[in-house]
Amino acid sequence: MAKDNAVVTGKTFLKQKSKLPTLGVGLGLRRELYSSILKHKNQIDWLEIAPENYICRGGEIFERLLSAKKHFPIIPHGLNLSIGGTEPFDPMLINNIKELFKIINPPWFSDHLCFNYVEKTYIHDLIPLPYNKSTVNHLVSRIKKAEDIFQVPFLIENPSYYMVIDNEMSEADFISQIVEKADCGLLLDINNVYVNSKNHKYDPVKFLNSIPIDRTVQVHIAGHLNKGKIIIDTHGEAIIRDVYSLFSELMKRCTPKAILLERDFNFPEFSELLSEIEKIRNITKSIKKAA
Amino acid sequence: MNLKKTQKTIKDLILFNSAWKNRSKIKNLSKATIERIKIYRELVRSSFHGMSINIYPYTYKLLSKNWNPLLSDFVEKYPPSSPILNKVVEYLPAYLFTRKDLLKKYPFISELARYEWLEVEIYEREGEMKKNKILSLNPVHEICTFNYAIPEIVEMIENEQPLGTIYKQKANVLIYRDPKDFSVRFFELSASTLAFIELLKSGFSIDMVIYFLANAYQIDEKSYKSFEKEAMKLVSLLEKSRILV
Repeated sequence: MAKDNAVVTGKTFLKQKSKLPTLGVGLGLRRELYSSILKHKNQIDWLEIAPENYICRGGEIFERLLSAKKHFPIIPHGLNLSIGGTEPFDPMLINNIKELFKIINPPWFSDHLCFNYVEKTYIHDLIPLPYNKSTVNHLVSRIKKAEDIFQVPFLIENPSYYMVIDNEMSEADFISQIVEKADCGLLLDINNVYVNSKNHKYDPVKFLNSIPIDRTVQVHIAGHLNKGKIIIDTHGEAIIRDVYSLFSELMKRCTPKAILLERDFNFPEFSELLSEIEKIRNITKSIKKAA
Repeated sequence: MNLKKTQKTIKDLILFNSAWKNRSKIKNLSKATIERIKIYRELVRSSFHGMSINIYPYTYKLLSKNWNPLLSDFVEKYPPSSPILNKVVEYLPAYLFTRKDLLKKYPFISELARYEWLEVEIYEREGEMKKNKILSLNPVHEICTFNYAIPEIVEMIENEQPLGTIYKQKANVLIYRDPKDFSVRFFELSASTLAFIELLKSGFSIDMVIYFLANAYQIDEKSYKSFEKEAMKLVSLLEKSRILV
């Protein structure tokens, strides 16, 4: 009865969240950036990795991970768990991620609210799910399984999506029902909120007000590619002013433990990335002060 | 809505041209949704294209005109079964071996692709160097025998030389990871160096290997010392190259 009550009120996860470490502002661990990251390690608080880029790897890749672990907390953010898929989780992926976790010892793990593994085939992109009651129930069961397997708090990221599959509810309702019923955390990608709000024509601030924002443990902020008719979440451009504004709105509403500047390719001078990190930090500080 | 069936349909439409060609027959997705799947097809193809030409730059140089249809056909026959992105194209050499049309023009094309894939595989291979008490073979390596002079072909492509008619010419290559800087190096092996390394691989000490080879080459007692001296020059070269560590 007490357990059911905790699930309904969501108190278990929020209690868990309060005990998670506050990490600050981080960057993705990319080969191209690593030597600059080390030179400026006092300006970067933590590093994010995609486990799929480090499992079953030796040589320079493994050495880079070991070196990074000496200097930074490392937070894993998955790409291919296919949390919304109907296949059992790939045992090869699961077992290798668990081995990786023995090295990096993360305080939490996250992946995207999508599917990408079907009939033992990986699509290698983030494919959206239909927003309906039965998918909600399916996700709740999958998230609980993932938490049992990995034994760390699990966060769901709101992905960018470019198609709608027979939706019976809004994106905000879908996310809200899943995280509350599964009693899990959120990785709120603020660039995805912006991109989705433009592509699917909704008010992004209303979206932030409609989801259980207090469950946000981690935030992603990134650039995107505006192709006119559609905006694509690429992580290959500078963050625009509107996304910074939306980020400010988010920070007025929640206190995440970690914020990531998400830049995956098309890298500018490292000083530009450091400036973006500083700007993110300043926004966070000024909102905290105002509060 | 059957979630499993829907996901299979979407997966097929994104990855397989054969499914995409017959999309008008699909009943479990709306026309609007199917239209939007185009975006995912482009994103996935763009990702596979960029990654594949990074891994197979020389093969790509020869086949660039038809690379995208080739890649689409490859994915159809070898659907991505690994969560690791670059393994999407791991079996491209095997696929090229089935393409009689390409082998007619470039009989070495499958071996060339295998040579390129091995660079990635050796670079990423697990298995770290331990401090050896005696000089031993670098554990992160692969010995390959090619039917064509692949290292020469790579050089010709690099220098943009016309390939002309390529004849069969066996080449033995040791591909290994340099423990100093993790780079992948290629070392062409003569028949005797190959024999030397194969014997080392079998667990024999350097002294025993020199002894066995001397016997195999019927080196008499008088000439043994000079044979040993030459063999030690080879050992020194292999050590300098960090093939022996």
